[in-house]
Amino acid sequence: MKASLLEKYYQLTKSIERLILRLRLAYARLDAIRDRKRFVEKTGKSVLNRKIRRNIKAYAKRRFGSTAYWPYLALYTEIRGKFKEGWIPFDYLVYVLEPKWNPPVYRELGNQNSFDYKRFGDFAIKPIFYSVSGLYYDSDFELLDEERLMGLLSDYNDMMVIKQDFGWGEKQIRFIQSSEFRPHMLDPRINYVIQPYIKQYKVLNELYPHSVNTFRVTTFRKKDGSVDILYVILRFGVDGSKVDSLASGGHCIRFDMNGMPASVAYDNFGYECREQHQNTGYRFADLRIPMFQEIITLCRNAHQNYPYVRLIGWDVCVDESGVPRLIEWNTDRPTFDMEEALFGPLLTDDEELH
Amino acid sequence: MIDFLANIYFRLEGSMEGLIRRLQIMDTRMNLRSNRRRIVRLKGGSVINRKLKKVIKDYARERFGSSSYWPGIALAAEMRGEYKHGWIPFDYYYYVLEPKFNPPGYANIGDIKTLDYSRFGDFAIKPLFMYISDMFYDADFEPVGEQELLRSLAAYDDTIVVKPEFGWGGKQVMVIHSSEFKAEQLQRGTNFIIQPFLKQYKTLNELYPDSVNTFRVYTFRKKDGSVEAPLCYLRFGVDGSRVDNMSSGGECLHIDPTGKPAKTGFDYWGMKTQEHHKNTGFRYADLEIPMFTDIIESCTSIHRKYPHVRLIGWDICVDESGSPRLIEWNTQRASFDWEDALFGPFFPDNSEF
Repeated sequence: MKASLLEKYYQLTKSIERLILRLRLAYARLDAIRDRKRFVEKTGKSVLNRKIRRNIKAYAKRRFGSTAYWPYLALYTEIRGKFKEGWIPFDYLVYVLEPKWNPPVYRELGNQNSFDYKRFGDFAIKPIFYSVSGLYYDSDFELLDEERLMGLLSDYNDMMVIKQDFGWGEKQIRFIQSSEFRPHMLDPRINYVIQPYIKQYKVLNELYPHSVNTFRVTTFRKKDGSVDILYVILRFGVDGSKVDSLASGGHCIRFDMNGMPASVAYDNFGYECREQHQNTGYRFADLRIPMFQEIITLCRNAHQNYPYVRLIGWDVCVDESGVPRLIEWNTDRPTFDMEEALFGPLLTDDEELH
Repeated sequence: MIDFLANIYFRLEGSMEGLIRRLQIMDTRMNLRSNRRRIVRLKGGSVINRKLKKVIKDYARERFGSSSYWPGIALAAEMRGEYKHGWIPFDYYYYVLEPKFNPPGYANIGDIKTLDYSRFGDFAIKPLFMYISDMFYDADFEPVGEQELLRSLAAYDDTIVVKPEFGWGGKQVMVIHSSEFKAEQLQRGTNFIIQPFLKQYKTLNELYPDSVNTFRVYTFRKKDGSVEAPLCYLRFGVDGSRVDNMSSGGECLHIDPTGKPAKTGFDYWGMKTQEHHKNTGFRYADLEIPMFTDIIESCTSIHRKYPHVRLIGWDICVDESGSPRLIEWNTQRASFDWEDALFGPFFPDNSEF
């Protein structure tokens, strides 16, 4: 009786999971259709015609098994101005490929921000302290009492960043002067890493000084174990924003593998912006990042040591002295859509997909 | 429309989760009852009478909010041969306390065995190879081709242990000669670690030579951040068994905080065994573990560096040279039931919850 009830429950759960996956796919596709309409409205032109739509659907059916994957491919076509065979639609990437590439049990590695310094050493930013279950620890996980913590903060006396483990987006990051920190101001149910606020490399500061501007390096572990760099973009804030993320209105420029920047920037929707920063006037083509290859090598090597997941998005800044420093690594949803449209197809080899 | 349907789904999912949790708790309590019946049969009698049952139910209601937690406490009383105020019933521990002690986002850190050597250095056993995401790697995470791996293992020419990540209770662990290894033996999609078979410390080998006999050390991070080791016991195989797991027929010996072994062993059902090993005749009281303090200190000092989880079960062996070596650390289902019954109560009050 009991076993049969449990069995029935599991069957029902499976059916509901399938249903919710369908709903999520439908929701994502509606998003793609909305975004495409918005893009067309903004640019005032559409490149999609009946013939291209037919080509897109035929490609979706051939490569992904269903024409239903057409909306993201159509969106990419509008963004790029032409259809490129080889693209992977975002819904397929998120709901079909990512669970295979980054299995759920290993996906949380990158969310445990308070382990980053332990894992990556000085490539990560050395924390000032940690808050774990309401207790305070120094960067070596030695317990700090309140008196020692306050002493440490008083010695530091500068701007700090408070980041949540399992935080998502910019909302769970706080900037605070160390003198303003008070014990018990953090939620004891959440773990935090408290880092120095990074003063960034001169050129990046000239580009836009109000946000820490970060490189997103997306690495992909191939089946032979080698790690490829799929793309590199530099993100920066605009219009007084303190954050560089695209979702918060930031812009980005692409870098090629030789470290040369593109001449134009893009926003989160893939609209082409100007050739110079809209606030500082910095010309993107003039950006020179001498430590670019070092950034690439650090990300590639770090991925090599975490082969559990195949796709990782590394957020790397460059500090005042020119040293690349890891801000975070994304193993949960390191997926790409606008990047695929603008710079892709990034993964054309079907052998590597499954 | 989609938002509406998604909302219905999330509500339905929430209700279903509540239902399945109730079913699971029911299932656990039925197991606790059937285990109690089994112990009563094995012992030839029960210590529970009507009066004691009432005491147990009152305690369960007062401390855990419901008398329905009584079966786990009654089981503990049968195992121990008497009732001890302060026990935690297994169902309360498993469904209520453990998710708080070791939150889900961190609970599997100990399961990723292929990271142990890079985390703990030589306290862990240096892997010969690792199989991760269907690829072979050496201990430094350098990819290794299959032919090279087979050549290296043939040249190693000794016994190896092949363990899956997220394995449980020694299941799927292979102990084979390195020349017998075949890549097809590994299940694709599962990660494995390939280690040398450890030659154990002389005394532990004399106790029982056919299994690697391991100390299970429990460490607990208290609210003030200090880490204690409330319990340690040594597990060993019997009757030709190659593994020391209690669930596979092994026995255990409680070791007190000074490193002194108990006189008698226990089996999986909490039944006292003899004062010496049934096969080798080794007298338990004669067991001397000079590195006992090192074992405890190694476990507590590492736990201090992983305060994200509060309860860890460490499996430690001692190698030929006398160095404690980590076999595995359990951060998920590190819970104890019969241990609390036989050697507890370890949490006599709620001050640490």
